[in-house]
Amino acid sequence: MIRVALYGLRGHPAALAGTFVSIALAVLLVTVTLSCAIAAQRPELAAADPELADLATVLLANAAAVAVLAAAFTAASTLAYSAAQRQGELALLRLAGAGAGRVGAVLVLEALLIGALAASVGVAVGLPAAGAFAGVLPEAGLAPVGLDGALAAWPAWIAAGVGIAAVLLGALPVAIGNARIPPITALREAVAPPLRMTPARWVAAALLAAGALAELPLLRGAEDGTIAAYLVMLTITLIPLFAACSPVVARGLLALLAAVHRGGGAGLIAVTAARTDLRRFTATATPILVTLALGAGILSGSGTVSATLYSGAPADSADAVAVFTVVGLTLAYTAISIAVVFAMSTARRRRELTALRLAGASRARALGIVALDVALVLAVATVQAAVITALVVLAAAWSLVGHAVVVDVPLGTVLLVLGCCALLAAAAALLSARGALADPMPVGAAD
Amino acid sequence: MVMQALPRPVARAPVTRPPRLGIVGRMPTHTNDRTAPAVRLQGVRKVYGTGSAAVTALDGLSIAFAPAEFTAIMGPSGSGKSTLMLCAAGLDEPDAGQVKLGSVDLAGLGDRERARVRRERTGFVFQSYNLVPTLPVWMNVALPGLMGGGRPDRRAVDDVLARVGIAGTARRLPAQLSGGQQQRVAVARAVLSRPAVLFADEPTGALDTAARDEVLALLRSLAADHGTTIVMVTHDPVVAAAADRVVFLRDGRLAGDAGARSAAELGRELARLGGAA
Ligand SMILES: Nc1ncnc2c1ncn2[C@@H]1O[C@H](COP(=O)(O)OP(=O)(O)O)[C@@H](O)[C@H]1O
Ligand SMILES: [Mg+2]
Repeated sequence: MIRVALYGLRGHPAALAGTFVSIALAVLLVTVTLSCAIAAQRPELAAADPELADLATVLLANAAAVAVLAAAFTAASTLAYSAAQRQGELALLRLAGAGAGRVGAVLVLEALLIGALAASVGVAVGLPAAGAFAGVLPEAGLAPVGLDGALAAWPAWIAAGVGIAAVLLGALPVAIGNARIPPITALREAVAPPLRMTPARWVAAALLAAGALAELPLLRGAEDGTIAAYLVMLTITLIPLFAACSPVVARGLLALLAAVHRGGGAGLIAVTAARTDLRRFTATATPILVTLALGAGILSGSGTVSATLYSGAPADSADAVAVFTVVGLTLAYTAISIAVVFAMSTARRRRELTALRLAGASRARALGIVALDVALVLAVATVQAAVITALVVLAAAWSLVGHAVVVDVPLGTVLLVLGCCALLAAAAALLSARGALADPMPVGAAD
Repeated sequence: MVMQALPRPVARAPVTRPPRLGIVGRMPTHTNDRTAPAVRLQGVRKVYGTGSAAVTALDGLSIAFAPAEFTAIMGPSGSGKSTLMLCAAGLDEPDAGQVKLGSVDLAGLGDRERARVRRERTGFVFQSYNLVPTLPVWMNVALPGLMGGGRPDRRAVDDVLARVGIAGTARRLPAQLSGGQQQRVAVARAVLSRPAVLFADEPTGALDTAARDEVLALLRSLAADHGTTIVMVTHDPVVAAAADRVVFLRDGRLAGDAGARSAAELGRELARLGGAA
């Protein structure tokens, strides 16, 4: 069985690159932040300045948590996408007599192998990086002096474990969803089934919605100083809720766009291709949704709290630094996921782009259709992130009952983040599409 | 061989295009001069790779195809048949020599103009890569017009689908059709856009004999009814026997060129040249 899994990995290196990169980065980030957070709590450091030590720990632990969450989302969507692309191969396993359990086990094993490989790379890079980071933090006034001397290696093992857990979390629903693939699929040209709201998605969505609702009483009862923290929690509950609902949400938004677009041409082609290949579409939309919603949700939540309670001046400038660091680290992290996911999924559109060229698309037109697709992904992710942000701001207003609520959405920063996402996504997708279009047409008996 | 009812010409223009501008737009799309070749290659040379790895796919090949002529191209595997199609269609650039589609010299055109020539003057029926897998059948049929910026006319598309015998498949995806049905979608596209030249690279290669004969009949009717020039690569002597003219290639050079011949003759000629395509 290990051999089958290894074969799968070798056959689809590009497909699984997105999973690998997101997990390796998460493990790297968690290794760095967790070792520093734990070192800051060492008695000899914490005794000198307990407040500074606590600040460092909270800040770093938040960054670690966000990285793990983003990694789990990205891993789940890239694993789901690559499994959907491999229906034929999985069906061949079933045709060869493999039971549903075995197919599921192969998928989980594959994910575990990637996770283990990614975790090793993350730890190997993370350990020296933690040393460097621990040297810089005290200089910035964000951690007690002497942090680098207090570092231990064991948090790296926790980071590796967390990374593997995140990949498992992503792989389990994929394995369950694909294990029962009918063997007959192998005999037809493999078509990935359309992306739908499965029972598992409904259950996950219901649980997350219940979780978000359960956070509301906590928010209402929270002390002024902790409201921002609860809003972060609400944001990271709402993101997977929207990700779980992405089949209906993306389908609905694209249908709306198709209805509004009355012309033909590249717009019609791009929208139709996105609706047909909704798996690719949502796999690329997920890291952008995570980035935008985390940035806009957390910043707007804490901004509204600060503006209402302290007339704009944050309670503690260290708080602002903390929020900014968490968001900044996350964005840096998700930026790489965005680039990888777009490059990977566009490289797979080779057949599509080749056929378009054959039917009379110039290279520029084919690239234009890819660019339109990026715009569609951004639009759908932005709408979802805007709804999440609105919900977070509403919850903030609700928890600030009795105060004159001042809504503060840092539009400039959010637009900057959106611009960065757009640039990265477009660059990755277009470079990858250019590569796919570089060869002359592969025709004849060879293919 | 099964010959089915020949498709009638399309009654109305399938796609309303905006006024054409630019180099190609100023030229007549279909030449009225029946004697000028529809496609002409002169001294075309194409080398893949460099140094010791260089492969000469086309070695100074000169050939012309007359309007409404149905030509089959045969030859051993690696003899340059597919490369000939790519260069003739402007999908790949020759290292030397000239390619003319009607009166248009492809060498003088940029990628954008070539793409326009492709969608306005040529059609393709290949073994694969014909259809965009993420677009439904009707959009695949209307694709050249769509790409030109026009709006699709669903009724015209439905007419053409019925004419090639796959009515009712308009909303399906290509992967939901059989191989023979997919080739008919490609033919339907050619019927709708009525190209001056249709390039077909082993269009029947993956089909059973019944589907093969039907696709072949559709191609023949395109030449007969619309005056479409058809250049078709095939390794099947039975398919080649349906053509007006059979051309043999070997090592990127012309190794034979004659009128229609029987399948048995063609099989012997192919064997003499060194094996199957
Ligand atoms: N993209 C390419 N890169 C390198 N060599 C190629 C390429 N395309 C074709 N060739 C080589 O050029 C020769 C002619 O190929 P092709 O035109 O496909 O032959 P045919 O279609 O007759 O089998 C072969 O030797 C083939 O290996
Ligand atoms: Mg060939």
